[in-house]
Amino acid sequence: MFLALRDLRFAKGRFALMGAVIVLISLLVVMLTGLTAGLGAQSTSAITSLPGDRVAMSQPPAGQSLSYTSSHLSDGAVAAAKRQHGVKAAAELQIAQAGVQVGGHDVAATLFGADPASFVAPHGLTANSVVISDELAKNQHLSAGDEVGINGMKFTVAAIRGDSSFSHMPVVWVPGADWGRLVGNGADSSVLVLSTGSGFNSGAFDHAVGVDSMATGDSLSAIGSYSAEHGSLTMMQAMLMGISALVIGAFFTVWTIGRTPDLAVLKAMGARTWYLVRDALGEALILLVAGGALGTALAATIGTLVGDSVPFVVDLSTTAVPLILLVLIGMVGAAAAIRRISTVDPITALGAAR
Amino acid sequence: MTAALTLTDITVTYPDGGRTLTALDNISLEVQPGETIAVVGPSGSGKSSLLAVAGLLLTPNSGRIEIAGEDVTQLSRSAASQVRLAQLGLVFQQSNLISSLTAREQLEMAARLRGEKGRAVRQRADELLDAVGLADAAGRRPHQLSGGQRQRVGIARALMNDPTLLLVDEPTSALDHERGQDIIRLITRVTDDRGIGTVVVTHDMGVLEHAKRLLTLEDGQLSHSYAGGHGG
Ligand SMILES: Nc1ncnc2c1ncn2[C@@H]1O[C@H](COP(=O)(O)OP(=O)(O)O)[C@@H](O)[C@H]1O
Ligand SMILES: [Mg+2]
Repeated sequence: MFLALRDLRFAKGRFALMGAVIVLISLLVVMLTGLTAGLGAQSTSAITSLPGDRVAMSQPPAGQSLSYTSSHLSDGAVAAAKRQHGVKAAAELQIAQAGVQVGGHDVAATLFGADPASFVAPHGLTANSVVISDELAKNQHLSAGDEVGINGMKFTVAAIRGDSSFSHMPVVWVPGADWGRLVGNGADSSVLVLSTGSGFNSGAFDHAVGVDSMATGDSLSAIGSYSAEHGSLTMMQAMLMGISALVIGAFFTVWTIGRTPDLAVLKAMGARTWYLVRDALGEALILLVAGGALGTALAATIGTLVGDSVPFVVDLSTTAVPLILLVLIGMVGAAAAIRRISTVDPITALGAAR
Repeated sequence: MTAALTLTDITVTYPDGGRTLTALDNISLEVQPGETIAVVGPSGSGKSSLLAVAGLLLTPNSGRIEIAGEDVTQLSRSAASQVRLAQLGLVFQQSNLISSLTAREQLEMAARLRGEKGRAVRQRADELLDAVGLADAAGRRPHQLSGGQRQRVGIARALMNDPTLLLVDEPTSALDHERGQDIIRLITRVTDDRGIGTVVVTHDMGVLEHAKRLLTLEDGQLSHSYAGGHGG
């Protein structure tokens, strides 16, 4: 990259401009990725942190898709599930929205009801107690032993467990025995949580129990808020990536056309096209990596600063991954532009072509 | 002695509207090592076409090209690049230096195209810049050099890979008479010193007093018009 490095230094202004565009695009992409992950976790963390490996829901009415909030297990579904081949454990998880009274006010929460003896219930859940999420405890200054009210009933906070939220609301685990008194009939839903091992056959299981089962990770799209947000945010990311490829392609097209006389001279001297292409690709890579890393670092800094008030995840998957993607897609754009090096005819270096 | 360049019966035509234009009409030419040949002709007479054929940048319609005794008439593009790297030095009309590179780097670039780099290359570049009278200008970029200096860098660059054949395209066209003469003297001197075969094409009759042989090109026809004022 002998020539690339010197061209970068010589045409500082132009490359700085392009670099700034890459910084801004990567800033946007990484912010959006962090936000997508943050919002996603707010919708799904209670599900992704469930024990077991599969979830089963009742089949939706024709024309509707699977949904956590409209699944209703039939009586005996748990017992039937436990009898199936390859099922190590099965438990019912009940879900409802409710207001939780803390001190004098109401806090919106998602109630998860489970039999304290079942494998799905969090450690510490006992009769007349609840287990709440870190976030709820922190925001409402609750600690173990405090009292909260749900639908007029009093519960003691037995334990505070993990980052657990569902559909943007903190999760409060309640004992299944109290479910009927807490939640009005029909205002709730229920799903099966399964722990499976070898011999489990999803088709046979679904047929025998009358449900749709899937890996827990695949069930997230059945959380209403998640699928709506995730789809549009992901589309925005994809569009930004596409824009960056176009912008970089346009820049390198103009740049390559501008240096056609230099390329013709180098080819006349005996440079092979591949040598020149490699050099130009190196230039694009430097620009993308430097601009992208700067934008990513900025986004990560901003994300860390606002992390308390805005759902924003800063980790490798929300920084390094989009950065690498951006660089790869940018390189595709650059390569499409740089391809034209092969069409430069060295004969134009002769005569008064300049 | 093997000729640096032998052109035999070279014809080049271009499509010209519905007809064809014959830029080189059955031209033959031989250049021996250490010999500077000047090809003089008016604009449009075919000088650049002649250089393009000798530089393997243009495949003639017919005829045969030999460089250092090797038939190089029908080479693939990459094989032609290879021959240019190994055997040819090209000096362009406006020197055609690369704007982002210093004088020394212009020469290093030529070596890098052959995969050579490092201290020995830089040292050789400095020696060549010294030989063309530019020892002090090694760190300057083209825009910091005068027209004559740029042309000298172009000559030094063409010598960087030790060519058998030096092809020079209108080297004086951007220079005043005196500086043009200096450049022609420099070219004949390095040709002599290094045993290179050199073809200079120009419409500048001022090269006359320095070239060993002078050929006139007119309407694609080459005529032998003058031999040997130069003592070398
Ligand atoms: N690529 C081309 N296509 C068509 N005609 C050309 C082309 N290159 C040169 N010619 C014509 O061939 C003739 C010789 O051109 P050239 O070799 O450039 O001469 P010179 O360098 O002496 O001016 C001119 O009439 C020119 O117009
Ligand atoms: Mg010409």
